[in-house]
Amino acid sequence: MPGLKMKSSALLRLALSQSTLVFFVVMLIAAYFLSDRFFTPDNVTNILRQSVPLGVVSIGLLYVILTGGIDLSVGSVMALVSVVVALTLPDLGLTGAIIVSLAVGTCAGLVSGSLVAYFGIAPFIATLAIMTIARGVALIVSRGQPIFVDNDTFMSFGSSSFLGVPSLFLVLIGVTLLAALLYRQTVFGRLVIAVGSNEVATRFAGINIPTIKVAVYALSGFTCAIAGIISATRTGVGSPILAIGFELDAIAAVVVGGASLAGGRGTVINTLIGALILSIISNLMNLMDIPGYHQQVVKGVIIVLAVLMESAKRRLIDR
Amino acid sequence: MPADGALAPRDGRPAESRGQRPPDSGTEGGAGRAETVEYAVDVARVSKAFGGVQALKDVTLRVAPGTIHALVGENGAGKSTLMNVLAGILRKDSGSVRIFGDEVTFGKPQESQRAGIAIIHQELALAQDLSVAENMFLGNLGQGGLFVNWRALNRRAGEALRQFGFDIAPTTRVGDLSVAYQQIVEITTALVLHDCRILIMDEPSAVLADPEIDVLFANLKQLRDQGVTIIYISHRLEELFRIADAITVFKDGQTVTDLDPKTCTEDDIIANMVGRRMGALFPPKPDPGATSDVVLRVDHLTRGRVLHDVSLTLHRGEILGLAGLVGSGRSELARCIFGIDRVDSGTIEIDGVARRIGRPAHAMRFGIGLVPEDRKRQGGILPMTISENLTLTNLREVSRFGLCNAAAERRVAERSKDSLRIRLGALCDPLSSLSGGNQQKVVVAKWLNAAGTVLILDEPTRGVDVGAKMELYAIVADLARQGYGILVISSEMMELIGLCHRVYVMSEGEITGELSGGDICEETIMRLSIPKRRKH
Ligand SMILES: Nc1ncnc2c1ncn2[C@@H]1O[C@H](COP(=O)(O)OP(=O)(O)OP(=O)(O)O)[C@@H](O)[C@H]1O
Ligand SMILES: [Mg+2]
Repeated sequence: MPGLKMKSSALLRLALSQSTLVFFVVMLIAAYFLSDRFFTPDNVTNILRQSVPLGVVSIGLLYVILTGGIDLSVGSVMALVSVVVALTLPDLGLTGAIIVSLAVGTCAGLVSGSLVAYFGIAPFIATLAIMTIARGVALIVSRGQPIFVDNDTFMSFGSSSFLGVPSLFLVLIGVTLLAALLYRQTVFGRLVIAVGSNEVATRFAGINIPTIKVAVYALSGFTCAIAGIISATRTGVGSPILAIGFELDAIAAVVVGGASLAGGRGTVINTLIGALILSIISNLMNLMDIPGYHQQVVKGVIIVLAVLMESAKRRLIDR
Repeated sequence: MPADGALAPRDGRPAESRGQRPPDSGTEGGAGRAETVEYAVDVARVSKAFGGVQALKDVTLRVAPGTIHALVGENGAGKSTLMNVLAGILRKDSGSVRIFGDEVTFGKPQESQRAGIAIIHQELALAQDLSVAENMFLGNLGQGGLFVNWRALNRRAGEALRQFGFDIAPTTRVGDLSVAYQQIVEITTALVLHDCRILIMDEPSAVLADPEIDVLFANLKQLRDQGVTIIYISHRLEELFRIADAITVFKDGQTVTDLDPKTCTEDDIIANMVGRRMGALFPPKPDPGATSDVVLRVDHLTRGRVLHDVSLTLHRGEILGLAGLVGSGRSELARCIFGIDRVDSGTIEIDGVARRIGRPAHAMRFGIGLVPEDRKRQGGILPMTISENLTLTNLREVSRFGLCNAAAERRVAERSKDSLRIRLGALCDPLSSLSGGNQQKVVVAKWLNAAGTVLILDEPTRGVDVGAKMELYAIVADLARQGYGILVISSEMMELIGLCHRVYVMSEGEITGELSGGDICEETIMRLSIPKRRKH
C-alpha cells in the first residue's frame, strides 16, 4: 500500500514538474475533439508557420524576464525591423539587408539595456520609451506606408519547406536550440539565473551585473529582429503597424510556459511550448469560428488558468 | 474607535503584565492543569523525512515548563526541523507532540501560535521595505480597526523596543537595518507583542555581539521567571552555561542525551555532539613570516557618518581581526574595501598600488574576496544548486570559452564539500535544502575557491557548529600560511583572540585601538569597543 502511494505521488510529481507539457498535450487532445479540421496537414503547417514570430520573440523575452526585467518594446522593434529590411533589400541585397536589420534590432535592445543597467531606469519604463520610439521611427522611415518587398529569394523563403517542415519553423527550432544551449551550458545562462534569483548575492560574488543586463536586452532585440524579418518574408511587406500589442502575447507565452515574472525561474523549452499553446488556441478558435472579441476573452481566461496551475504546483512542491 | 486605546491594551508594558497570565498563575481552568503537567513540550518518537533525507528519527524531547532548555548539535542534526514541526511550519511524519499535556498536530503556523508557541527563525523573516513598526504589527496593522493610526503604532513599537533595551526608531525601514538589529526587531515582536507561553529561538545569539547578548539573556531570564518556557538553539556552547537550565544534544536526527549545565563541561557537550573528544579549537597561529609586505592598506577612509578616518594595514600571511559592537562600522569598512559602498575620502592600496574600487567585480579583479555577513541576502543564492553556488566566484576554472564544464565543476564542488565537510544530499540540490550552518559553509567555501590575496570574512562562523568551526579556523590559518592577508570580523571575542595576530577595535565608525600578541584580551577589547558618547 505505501509502495503504491509512493508511486502515484512520484507520478504526480513528474506531471507537476512538466505541467506546461501536460497542458500542451491536453490542449492537443481537446483540439482533436473540438475541430476535425485541426489535425489536417495544411492546418498543422499553418500553425507551425504562424507560431514562429511569437516563439522567437518569447524566447528572447524569456532571458529578460529571467533577470527580473521586462521588455515591452518587442512588437515595435519587430515593426521597425520589418520596415528596415524591406527598405534596404533593393540596395544592400539579401545578406546586407539582413545584417543591417539584425543590427538595428540588437541596437534597440542595447539602448533599453543600457537605460536599465547604467541609468537605473525601471525596465518597464525604459522599454516603454523604446517601444514608443521604435514605433515612431518605423512610421517616420516608412512615411506611414507599408513597404513592399521586392526580392524573390527573400519572399520564397517564407513559403518554402524543408522535408515537409516549413523553413520558418526550422528557424524557430534553431533559435530554441541555441537559446537552450545558452541557458544550460554557458556561464552567461547561469549568471542570468543568478541575477534573477538574487541580484545582491550575485553582485557580492563579483559578477558584473550591468553587463548581464545589457546583454539580455540586446538578445531580446536580436530575436525581435529575427521575428521582424520573418514577418516580412511571410507577408511580403515591411509594415510600421506590424505587431501592435505583440508584447502582451509574448509575455503571456513566457508566463504560460511557467516562468516567474519575479525572475530566476523559467526554461526555454517551456517558453516555446507556451508560445505554441497560444498559437494553437488562436488557430483553434478560428477553426471553430469564434468571433475575435470572444477570442480575446477565452485567451485571457486560459492565461489565468495556466498561471493558477503554476502557483498551485509551487505550493504542492514546496510542502 | 480611538485607535490609541486599542493599540495599547497592555499599557505598553506587556512583558510585566504577562507575569499575571497563565500558565503559572492563570485565572481559568488552565491554571490547575498547568501545575499538574510535567512538561511544557513533550515530543515522543517524532520522525520527519525530506525526500530521501531522514532529518528526524524517533526524536524524544521533554521540556519542563518555565525553563530555558538548550538544544545543541552539529549542522544538519535536525534542530531546526524539529522546531519547525513545533511551529506548524512542517508536518511530522509520525510520532506525537504534547503541548502542556495536550496532544497536538499543527497543520499551519497559526494553529501553533494559538497554542502559545512563538518561533524566532534562524533566517530572519521581515519585510525589508516596511518600517520597523509596520513589521512588528504586520498581522494586525489596523489593530482591529479599518484605518492605521501610525502615530500610535510607532509609539507602541518604540516603547516595546525601548523596554527591551534597544534604541531603534520604529519608523526605520527594516532593509536599512543591519542583521543584528533586524533580529532584535523580530525578538521584540515575538516577546512583547505576541502572547507566547513557549518561545523558540533558533540561534538568536549568532548575530549579536557580546554586550547585546547580555541584554538578550537578561530578558530571556526575566521571561523565564515570569513562566515562559524557552527553547534555545545555539552553536556558542560557552553561553549555555550562563543561560540554560537543561541541555539536549542532537546528533544525526536523534536526541542522544540530556545534560545538566551545572555539572557538565563544554567538552562533554562537544563529545556528545561530535561523537568523540576534540583537540584544541584553534590551530597554532601561523608564523607571519619574515616578509612584511603590506597587501592591503587603508588610509584615512571616511564615509558619511558610518566611517571616520579609518586607517589600517594588513600584511601578507597575517590574520587581522576587527572587533567592535554591531553597528561600529566593521561591516561598513568591509563593504567599502570590497567596492559595495562608495567612500567619501581616503585611499585603498592593494599590493602597494592605490586602487579605485567601484564595484565588487573590481575588488575581485584586484584579488579581494568577501564573505558577507548576511548569508540569505548577500551570501548565497538559495534557489540555485549547491555546486552552482560554490563555483559562482571562479567561473573561469569551471568553464571554457564561456561553456560550463560539468566535470570541472563537480571537481571544484566536491573539493569544497570535503574540505569543509558540508553535509548535503546531492551537489545538484538547491542551496535552500541545506541546514543553516551548512549554507554558511557553502558561502565561505565559495570564496575559498576564488584565488586572491586578501580575504575578508564577516562573521564567518555564524551558525556553524564546533567541528566545522575548527575546520574553518584551520583553513584560515592555512590560507594565511599560503600568503593570503585575512581580515576577520567577528563578534565572538574568543574567536579573535584565538585566531588573530593583531586586532583592531572599532567603535562608532572609528578605530579606537590596535592590539597585538598577548595584549589581545577580552577586557581591553571590551573597553575599546564601548562608545564614548552614547547616543540615547
Ligand atoms: N526543505 C528541505 N529539503 C530537503 N532537506 C532538508 C530541508 N530542510 C532540512 N533538510 C535537511 O534536514 C537535515 C536537518 O536540517 P536542520 O535544518 O534541521 O539542521 P539543524 O540542526 O538546524 O542545523 P544547523 O545547526 O546548521 O542549523 C539536514 O540534513 C538538511 O539538509
Ligand atoms: Mg538550524
